[in-house]
Amino acid sequence: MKKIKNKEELEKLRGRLKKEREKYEILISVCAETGCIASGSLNIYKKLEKEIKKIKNRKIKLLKTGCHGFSEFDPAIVIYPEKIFYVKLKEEDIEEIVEKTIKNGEIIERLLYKDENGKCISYLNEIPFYKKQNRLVTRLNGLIDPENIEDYILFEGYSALIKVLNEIEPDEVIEIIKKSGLRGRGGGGFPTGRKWELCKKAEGTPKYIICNADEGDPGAFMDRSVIEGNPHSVIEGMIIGAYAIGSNEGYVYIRHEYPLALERLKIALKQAREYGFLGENILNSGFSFDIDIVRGGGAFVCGESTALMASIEGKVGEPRAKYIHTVERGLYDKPTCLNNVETWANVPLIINNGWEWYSKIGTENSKGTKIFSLVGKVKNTGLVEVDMGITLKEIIFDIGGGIKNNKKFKGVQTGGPSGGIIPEKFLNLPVDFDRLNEVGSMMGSGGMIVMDENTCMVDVARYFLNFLKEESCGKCVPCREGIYHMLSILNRITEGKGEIQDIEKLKEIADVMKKSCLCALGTTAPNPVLTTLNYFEDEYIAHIKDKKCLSGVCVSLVKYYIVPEFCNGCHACYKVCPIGAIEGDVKKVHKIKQDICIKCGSCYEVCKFNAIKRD
Amino acid sequence: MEKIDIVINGKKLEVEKRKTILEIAKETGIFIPTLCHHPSIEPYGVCRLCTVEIERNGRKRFVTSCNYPVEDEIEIKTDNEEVLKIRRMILQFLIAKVGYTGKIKEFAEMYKVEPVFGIGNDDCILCGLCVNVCKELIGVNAISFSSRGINRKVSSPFEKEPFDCIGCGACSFVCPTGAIKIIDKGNFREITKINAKLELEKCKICGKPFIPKKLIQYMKNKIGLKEEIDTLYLCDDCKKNVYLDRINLLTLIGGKK
Repeated sequence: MKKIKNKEELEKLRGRLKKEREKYEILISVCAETGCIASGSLNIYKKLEKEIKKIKNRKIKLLKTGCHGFSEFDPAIVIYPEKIFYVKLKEEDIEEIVEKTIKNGEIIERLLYKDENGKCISYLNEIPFYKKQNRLVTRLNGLIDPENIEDYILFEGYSALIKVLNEIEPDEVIEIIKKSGLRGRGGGGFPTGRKWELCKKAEGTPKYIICNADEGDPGAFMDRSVIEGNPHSVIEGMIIGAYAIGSNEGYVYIRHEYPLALERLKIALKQAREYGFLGENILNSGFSFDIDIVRGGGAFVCGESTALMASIEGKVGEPRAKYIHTVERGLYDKPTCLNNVETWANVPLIINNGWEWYSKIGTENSKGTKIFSLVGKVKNTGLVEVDMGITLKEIIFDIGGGIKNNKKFKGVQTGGPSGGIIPEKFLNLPVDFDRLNEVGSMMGSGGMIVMDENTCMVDVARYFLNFLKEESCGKCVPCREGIYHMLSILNRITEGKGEIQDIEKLKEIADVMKKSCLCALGTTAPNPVLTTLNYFEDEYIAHIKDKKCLSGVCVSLVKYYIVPEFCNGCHACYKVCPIGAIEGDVKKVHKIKQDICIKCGSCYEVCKFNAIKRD
Repeated sequence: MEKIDIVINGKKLEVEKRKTILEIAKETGIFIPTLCHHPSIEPYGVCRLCTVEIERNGRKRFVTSCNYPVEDEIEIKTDNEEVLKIRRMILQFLIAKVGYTGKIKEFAEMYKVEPVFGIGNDDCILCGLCVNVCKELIGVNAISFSSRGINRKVSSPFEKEPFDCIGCGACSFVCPTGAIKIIDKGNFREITKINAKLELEKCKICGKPFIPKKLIQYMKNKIGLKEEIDTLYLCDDCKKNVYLDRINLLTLIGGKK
């Protein structure tokens, strides 16, 4: 491929690509992101490839794309132009799809998504999961092959870069980003344009650009999906940022556990170089910029900007004080502009559509859309992109379809392990940076874990603190020791050894941590404890005073026993008990041997006669 | 040097920009407790005991005074009730780890701290002075921290003998809790906690082993010494005698003249 030198050449290429794509009557997109691949989508792809080859009279294009977002129903395919959406496919279904749908345009009901009432929905855009979404950053997931730069070019790709290089001065670019109201998607929500401006004004060269792709929150996969689905949008954003700030060197710091994203990013960077979007004298503008990849080593704390920079420098990944900001003294003590994957991916959108367009989306202080990974006890788990300001209720109940197994909603945790748990009374809360902070949680990078009535809130706080105990770097005293002591107290409470003063102690430790920890990992670590204490204090009291876990989660406080009057000796519990703690012959009353019962609750779940009670 | 106006504990001051709050407090005679701070080493800011409250543009924050560079119109409170609360809890955390060791005992008495989380018997408070002195002043980087969170510890690479260690003992010298000990025994010097064991050079005169061989080599490299100097290989006592002899000799020669 000859390097593209100007707008005309790019337009010419795009024209050719458009014509090529228009030749195809049918386009089948197979979701091939880490999650989808795990559910077997590559086998679906191979089988489709084989079957399609047999069709000679029609031009069909098969695409391996990023995630459609509807993870719950993987592996899934979309057949264009109608956008027929088939879910939870098996290899055996492929022949039928080819025979009926591809050849004859017939829709196979069996493979369609069914809504709550069992009604089949044929087309992607009619599915409730997608209705309230506004897919901007993820708009091309499902339409392009992330391993082919030409697919990206076909859909406006690199137009923003050309526009910027040809028509807009660096300072003006910063002004556009400032006016758009874009805020950092990594968690802090710092105004992106302002960050760029500060970095540009900072003394010292070289200046560095970094993309933070060290997405470590449990249950979060937004950044992975963006890179796996559309890596060039991130690269284009970074090049534009570099041009605006005056940087010639960039890094993507990518999580060790993301091999596929890494692979696709490598391919994308190579292709971007080949096409002349990266490297020396980009598009003949005289501006040079290139990007290197640095792979993380598996530490959660390296998602923190200063720890990340230390890690790139080859030092131990530990945060340092940010009293002198990283825009002034960051990587190698030089001015550095670090933004998250999603933030970078927003940049080309803003340039292409204008800041006026962008600033109309969202709320007053939080503009644009936000991608969330909706997980937990919700019916439709998956990747969700919504306008800022949408309510939690809309996300969880309209998009997410409500709680699994028709259980009751109890809380939702936003913002990763150090986010807070938001109770039912705030379900109508509009989701944006400031409103989430007001209720003691945070936007974070966009994890959203939904919890149902069977969740014990003390246990949840304990769980997250346990995660943070492992992941705190241990550098500063309040974080290292504070988490440890809070966790010890929570362990005691869940074991029924808590005392009422413990609640006060937890609050005191949390207060000190919030004020005195070195980095945001420490200052936000108490959030799960504080919010559960705030909104679910009765559960703490029940654990401490009554020695009871009403959700039946804390094994030390739970006892299962069989009510003889209800037991008809069906033997179901006997069969399901994993350690043989249930004795009794068929058709005779059974009994649980309390001394060996591990309180897993399997018998409780399986008993159809309400004979097993939990206390 | 650019001067700026600040307020510290209600007192207006004109101070040099870029100085840290701790430096200014020391100059003004205001006491701020520290554990991980050493004037010769870059502030590490991990014990958080030197936390103070600052207010600027109506925004209150808590910062560590050892590494916070003062800014214009900043108001600093070094020991209000909230600051003391933080210090007390940090001391409680440290008492739970190492008990009443060294300065911790002194500060605990000063701030009337009760042991809420128990009294520990570990010896290291992970202040990082040993690691940083080895890195910054000696330039050897023989030791570092290993593991994360509560398992963090000072360690040699892979907890084996630290191959870069020259046995200078600076780590032991700066340790505020005496957690690192130097033991010279026979022909070897052992440094506890970092698994160092170094062969000692024997004094050329009295034969007493007195300095790690690697340290002599390091010093020679550091000053770019090509030839051998015999006094490098003499223990302190013998060196003293040799020099005394030489001085005596000089005075004798001088006397003859």
